Amino acid sequence: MNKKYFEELIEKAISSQKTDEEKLKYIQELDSLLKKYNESLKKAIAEIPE
Amino acid sequence: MNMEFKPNIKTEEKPTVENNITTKEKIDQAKESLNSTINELNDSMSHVEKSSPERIKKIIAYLKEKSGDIIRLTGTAVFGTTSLLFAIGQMQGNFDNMDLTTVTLAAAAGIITTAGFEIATHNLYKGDKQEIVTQNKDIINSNTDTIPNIKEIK
Repeated sequence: MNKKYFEELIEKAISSQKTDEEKLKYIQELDSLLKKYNESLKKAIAEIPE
Repeated sequence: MNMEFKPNIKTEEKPTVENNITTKEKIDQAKESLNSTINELNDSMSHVEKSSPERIKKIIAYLKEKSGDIIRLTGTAVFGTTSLLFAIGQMQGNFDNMDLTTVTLAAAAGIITTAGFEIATHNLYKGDKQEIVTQNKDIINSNTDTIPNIKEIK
């Protein structure tokens, strides 16, 4: 995972939000969705054998 | 009379300042939580990246199937125009400097749309050209009204 590049993409996306309220909402929603995504990823890792 | 007015002005100003500080503090806290989540994702991805190419493909397919609602949701409703602009921007750029997991996460995060994800994975997985192109066509056809140049990208 290109963590640095991914963080740069996120920073750009956050910066594109016009107000602090929009930034906060964006970050919180993104955090929530990435948590869900990570849960799915962990399930995939557990269910798909090598 | 003056003594009565001054406190009124101050009490009107204070909440505004406090609210600004509170929102910025909330942003800082939210960013900390987001960073923590990204670190956890990085751990998961590090595990995936040690897998064989075939297993990675299966995991990506699983995520697309099981997390499709998340990807679609972020690509349209939640992040809307911003996401679309990033998708267009990314598609006009060069995906070759992005690894697959970064592209996958970006799609999940709504930074690029599902269409962007398909095109990116197509570029990264040139060996699967026929399959990915077919998938692209379905997605391209449903996005021609919102992404004008999408037909020209293969």
